[in-house]
Amino acid sequence: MVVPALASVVVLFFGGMYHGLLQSLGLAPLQGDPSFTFQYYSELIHSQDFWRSFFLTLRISILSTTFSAGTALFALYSLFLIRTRSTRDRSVYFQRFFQISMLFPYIVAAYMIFLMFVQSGWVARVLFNMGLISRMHSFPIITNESFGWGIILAYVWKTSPFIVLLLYPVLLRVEKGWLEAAKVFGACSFSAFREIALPMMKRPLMVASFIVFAYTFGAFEVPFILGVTYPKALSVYSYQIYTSGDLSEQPLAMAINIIILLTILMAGLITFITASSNRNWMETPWTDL
Amino acid sequence: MQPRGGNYIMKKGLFLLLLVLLPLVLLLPFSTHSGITSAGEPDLKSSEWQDVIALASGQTVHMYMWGGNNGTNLFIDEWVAPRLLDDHRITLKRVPVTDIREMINKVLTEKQMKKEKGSADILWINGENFRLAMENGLLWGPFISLLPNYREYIDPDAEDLKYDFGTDTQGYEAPWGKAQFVMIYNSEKITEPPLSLAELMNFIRENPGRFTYPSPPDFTGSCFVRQVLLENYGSYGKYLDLKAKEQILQKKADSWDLLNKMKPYLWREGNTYPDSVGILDQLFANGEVWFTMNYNPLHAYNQVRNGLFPETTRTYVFRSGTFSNTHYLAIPFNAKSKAGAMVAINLLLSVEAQIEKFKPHVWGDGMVLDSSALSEEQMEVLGRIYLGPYSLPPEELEKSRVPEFSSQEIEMIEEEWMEEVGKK
Repeated sequence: MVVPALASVVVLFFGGMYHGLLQSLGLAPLQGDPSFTFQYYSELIHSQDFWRSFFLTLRISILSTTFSAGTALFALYSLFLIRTRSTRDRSVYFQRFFQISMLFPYIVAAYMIFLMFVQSGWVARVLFNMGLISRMHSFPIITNESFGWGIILAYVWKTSPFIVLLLYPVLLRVEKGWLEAAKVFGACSFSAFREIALPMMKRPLMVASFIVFAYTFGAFEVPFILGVTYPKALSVYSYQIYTSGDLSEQPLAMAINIIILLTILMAGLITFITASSNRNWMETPWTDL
Repeated sequence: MQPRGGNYIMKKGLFLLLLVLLPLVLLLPFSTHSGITSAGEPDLKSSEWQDVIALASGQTVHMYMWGGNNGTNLFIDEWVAPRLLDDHRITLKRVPVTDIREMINKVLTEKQMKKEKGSADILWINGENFRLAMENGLLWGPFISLLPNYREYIDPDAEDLKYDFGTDTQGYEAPWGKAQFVMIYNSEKITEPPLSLAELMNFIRENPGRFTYPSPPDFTGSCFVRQVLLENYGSYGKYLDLKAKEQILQKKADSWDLLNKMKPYLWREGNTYPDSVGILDQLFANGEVWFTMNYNPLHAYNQVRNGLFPETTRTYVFRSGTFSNTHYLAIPFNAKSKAGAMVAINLLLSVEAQIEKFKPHVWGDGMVLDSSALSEEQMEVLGRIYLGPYSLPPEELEKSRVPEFSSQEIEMIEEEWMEEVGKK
């Protein structure tokens, strides 16, 4: 039963990657004879445009992941309070509420951020009509600026609920008895959260953060809508080369995609090593995700 | 008995095969020289139109076209097809494709396989695809001067019909419709729209932050950049004459210089540009900028009707003209129903069909007719199509049409813009 689904994933996903790898190495050209070369990679490594895009993308991904994890932890702390402060556990409803933004596709999220935060957007208009800003143009520029705040905002909005979703089950494993015990020793709610829930969440949090990083590093639509003309995020840069250049430049776009892939693999490796080196002092049966 | 029976059947089969092949083999040498085509039709190029119509009767015509626009599809299925069937007993079958390039490749394969009876009778193409088809001898023609409606209503010398993205059509494709670049502005903020680059430059100096254009390779932004080049080149004719490379390079450098001088007065001081025309439309709708632009001349009308653009939206074109591109209908070299295809294309070029297609609620596609060839009555029908004050009537647009640069040239301009303007 699994075979057809698995086969299509293997063929389309790995097949595409394999073909991209071949193309980036000059082994599957659209015209001319195949010959093995690192020419496209060395062209990228010597290109200033590439490095500007690379570091922009890296910065956006790291900041998005950090802010997203921070927002998620704050939400989890709130859920923890709701759960521990009352006799009936209502946190599950609030947890559902946090998932709303996961229903929207990224492209919708990006467009919504644009409509809300552009200088003539909803937020600026509301502030202007309330008299809080004197001119629409005194609203700060958040979308389409070179730092990438708009992109980060869209990613945090979209991905923090995902982290909450992955970590919430861990929160449910915190038993009332432990909290009672913590109170006996004089711990307040925050220190109980920090001392009991947080260590349990550490490994799932690392895994969830890695997933967010991997997605934000390779995704296309959000930086396409909220980015600037130059420098572009790697995926947008690759897309631009792929579509507007002539056919002989396609291997360059593929080489960028392979570099994106390698970066994500590297990040995955680092996550794995850190997570397993922490395992010894963290080893508790319920932290396995 | 068994082996003999098998042998007998085989022999009979072989005989039948030979019987079928023999006439074909005999016909082959004649088909290229005599006036009889391999399909057994008389040479259409020297036939009277009456004979073409007679021949077309009962034929089935397969029209391969991009199927992504509902209005276009309905127009073919509900307006064109019934008329062809009633008037000429021609069955028109619309075959939707996502990219007509696939069909060009198919005809190319058919040619390599020497397939005389192809699958397509009409192709809807332009630009790069037409150039490819011509270079590989995939089209049948020249045929357009045989069509009565072409002779009567279409100006054969119009540059924008004759050159398809820089390629001479040589009568191998019939112009069917067109799009034209227009500028759109908010008349509440602007009383006199700037009709030239110099005026635009003055305007944005006085009103900084109120103008921008989508960054190429966005299709619309790329066209705005070409408008700047066009005005620096002087005119399209001059551009074609500018064989001297140095002159072109100088003109280009001037254009990049001008666009860089514009930068501090653009939206966001030119630090970034909208990445697509959709974003620019949104900024225009919000009132953040006062201009937008589009390659569909009826865009303003449609967006006002959709409630996105304000009622005060107006359209204009530059004094030096604006780019327009034409899309065409062609007949593959191996079409089965060439006569039927010709009659169908002739109907699509008729005044009635062109006006119907132009109506914004039907499709809103630009007409290829020469308005001076239309009767007063026909002009009146045209005048009754309501475009509001938002979009320009076809006769206004017609006065300022300029044909497009070649597709290779366009690609080069987009890359140079990024290097010379976008990054700076």
